[in-house]
Amino acid sequence: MSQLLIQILMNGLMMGLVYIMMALGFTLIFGIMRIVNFAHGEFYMLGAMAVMLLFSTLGINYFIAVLVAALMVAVVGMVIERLLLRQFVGRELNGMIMTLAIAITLKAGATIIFGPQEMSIPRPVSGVTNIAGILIPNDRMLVGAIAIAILVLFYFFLRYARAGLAMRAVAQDWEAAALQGIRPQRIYLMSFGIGCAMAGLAGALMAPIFTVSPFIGDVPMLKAFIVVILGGLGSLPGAVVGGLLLGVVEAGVATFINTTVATMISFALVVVILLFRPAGLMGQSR
Amino acid sequence: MTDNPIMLELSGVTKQFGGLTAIGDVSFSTRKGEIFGIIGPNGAGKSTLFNLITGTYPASKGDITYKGENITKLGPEGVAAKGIVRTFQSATVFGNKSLQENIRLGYLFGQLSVPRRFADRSLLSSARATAETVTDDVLAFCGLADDRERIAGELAYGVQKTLGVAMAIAAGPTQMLMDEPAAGLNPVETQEMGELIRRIRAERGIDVVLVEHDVGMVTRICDRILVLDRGQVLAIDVPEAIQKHPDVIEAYLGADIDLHQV
Amino acid sequence: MNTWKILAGLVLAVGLVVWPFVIENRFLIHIGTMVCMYALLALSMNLMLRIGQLSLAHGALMGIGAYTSALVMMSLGFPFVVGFLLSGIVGGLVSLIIGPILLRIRGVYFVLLTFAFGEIVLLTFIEWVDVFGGVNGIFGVPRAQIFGYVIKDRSLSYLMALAMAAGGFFLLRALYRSEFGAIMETLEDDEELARSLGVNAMSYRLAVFVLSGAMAGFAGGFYASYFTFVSPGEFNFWTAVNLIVINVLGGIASPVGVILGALILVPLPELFRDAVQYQVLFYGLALIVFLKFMPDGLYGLIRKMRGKRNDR
Repeated sequence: MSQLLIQILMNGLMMGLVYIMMALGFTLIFGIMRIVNFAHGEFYMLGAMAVMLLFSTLGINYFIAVLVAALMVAVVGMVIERLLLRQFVGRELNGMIMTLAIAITLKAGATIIFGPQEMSIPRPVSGVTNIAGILIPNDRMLVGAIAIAILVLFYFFLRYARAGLAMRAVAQDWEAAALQGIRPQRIYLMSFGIGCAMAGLAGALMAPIFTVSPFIGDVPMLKAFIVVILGGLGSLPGAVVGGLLLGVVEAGVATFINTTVATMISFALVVVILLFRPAGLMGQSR
Repeated sequence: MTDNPIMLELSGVTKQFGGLTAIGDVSFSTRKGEIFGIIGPNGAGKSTLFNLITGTYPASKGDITYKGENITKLGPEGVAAKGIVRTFQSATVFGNKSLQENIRLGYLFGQLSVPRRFADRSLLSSARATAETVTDDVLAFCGLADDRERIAGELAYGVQKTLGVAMAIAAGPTQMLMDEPAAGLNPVETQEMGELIRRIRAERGIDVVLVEHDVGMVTRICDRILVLDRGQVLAIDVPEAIQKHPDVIEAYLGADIDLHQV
Repeated sequence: MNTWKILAGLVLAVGLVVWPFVIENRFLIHIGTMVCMYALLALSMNLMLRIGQLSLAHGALMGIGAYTSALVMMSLGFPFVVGFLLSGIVGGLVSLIIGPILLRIRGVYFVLLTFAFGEIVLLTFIEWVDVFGGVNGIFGVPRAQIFGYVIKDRSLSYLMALAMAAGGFFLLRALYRSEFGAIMETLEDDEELARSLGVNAMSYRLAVFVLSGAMAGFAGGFYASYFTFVSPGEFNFWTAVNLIVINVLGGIASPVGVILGALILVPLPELFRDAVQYQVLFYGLALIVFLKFMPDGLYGLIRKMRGKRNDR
């Protein structure tokens, strides 16, 4: 039984790490631009599509493919921010509708280009590793390792890099930040780019694990949304805690009952939190 | 005036925000026919106290009654239903409507707030018959008749503030709570606002409680003044006494206001 | 109102009623029916947008109406009229129950709440297979029946849909022009001011939400009997998004704009019959363009061209 539990924990942690990546990007964008990015799932999908093109079709080394994919998604994100979203910063309702519009456009565009079918791409690594009697597939271990590396990088970026500090300043008080010489527009551009890159990375990493299609962004979008509400819209530590929590709880409920119920419980939790603690478990109450 | 019936009464009203006590054990009462002023240095808690009475914030402890009825737990519309209407510190009007439309809505909404079932449509239509007369009357009373058809958002700040007062009058209150009526007004406009408030009490029989920074205006028009400092009542008295009150002078020393200059 | 307007209105009304009997193209009539059904749905969304509350739950509310009607007829054996009435009543009832909870929250969080609520409803349809038929839904829903006469003819179904849409349209138009509409406007404009003068904002927002839910429910009841089939996939959050697209495109400010939006957007799939995704792409791009350049939608554009100031 404990073997099963640990298996669940491992699965949950891996998914949790992916959720954290999605949620961090999502909450970063909201925290800095006050825009709920309903297109976030589509950037995940774009990351997966990019990896499919680079790794599966063109045969480029997997790690390079993932990196390039993330960069590509970041660029697309920044173009979109500059052209379409800049005017909606702070205008929450209309910004949300605009991201909805972007979402359906991206998804439809991908369907037209790639077709609606599910495709699979080869695994970059295969086999399983045996750690104290627990069998962990190598590809999932890889996802976990890379995800942890990215998160550590992200943490240090925000903590110590000038750009990272500037982002946090703008999130707190953009007028004060502007007075300090930080230009909010550049920060918006960078935040959206990084946020999308995180989503794209998540998609790129998960592409070999599950299938790739224009619709794979829907579920991660939902998960990011749930995690961010649980942890608090705009709270980065909240995204981490929420992501781990959701990953593990979901894995548990899905194993013992079923996935639909697991999702229902998550949404019910969302409703409860939105009603009584909209700032989330760890969020900033604005 | 001290023998007139008590209107608004606060007993032991306290407001805490987390660990911070913004208002601590405040008690006072106002009387019929009074213009009652609340002043205090910055951060004294005047806005908080004001918002407790208007039902915008719930009190942590204590009771607030109006004409004997407990209004502590009521929200803004509940308080309005008891006949207490407030004005706002910044000019708050329906910007894309005309002046007369604003006032008409003030009247209409005042009619709505008297407790009744939501489905009572007949009242909405009968309200129309006298809405015009009330609008004309209030426009004239506040000196806004000439601008009646102009769009509210296009007018000067001072006019908008007067409109806010007019809307409140049209709602038919017995008590008005005014949040810094002189804020943002130049000396001439402040004088006019003071006059308007006097006439509201004298000609309309509406009692007034106002929160203000402009100590001069408060001393000129108020019958009694309450001085708030750091969430506590420092003094309640007539203006002449307040000006000489040693604690009040000390509280204001940092604010550089010469109380005799007003 | 001048004679020309009345005449034009009459001609339009007659035209709208008579054309399916003249142009007996089943396909076109189906399009017309869908335009009317979506017009009603978009109008229900318009109510919410008018008070500044974007709801992503309307797909689910429509679904609740549809399943209610289907189940009432199939499991309880009631005739269509009862099922249809209940679809609206239950839709309104659900709104009445969740309204006081949801409406306390504003802005972004409200949208997210409705999104979560919609997903929970959908998941319930999927999970509770015994009652709702799970992912596959319910087949064989009885067709509309009035006084024992089964409505199978497409033209008659169209007339039913037209009646619903017209009813919704005139109801909203009258509502917006009434005192209730004026109050709605002030709630969107400055709710704090309205409350300080005595408006019980919560009651009015709740009333709007209930009406909105009822309208969506009715549309669902119609859907169930028209297609004789209900499944969860038809009532998800993308349905609500479509309604928003129609509103933004047509113009939120007026019910006429909403009708215009539905008129243009609903038949569009047929231009792209083999490639539904092109239609969705068009929806998305159109929405982007309108959001960016034409915040008042098509109707606002028309009014501007006619030189009128944009009002309600």
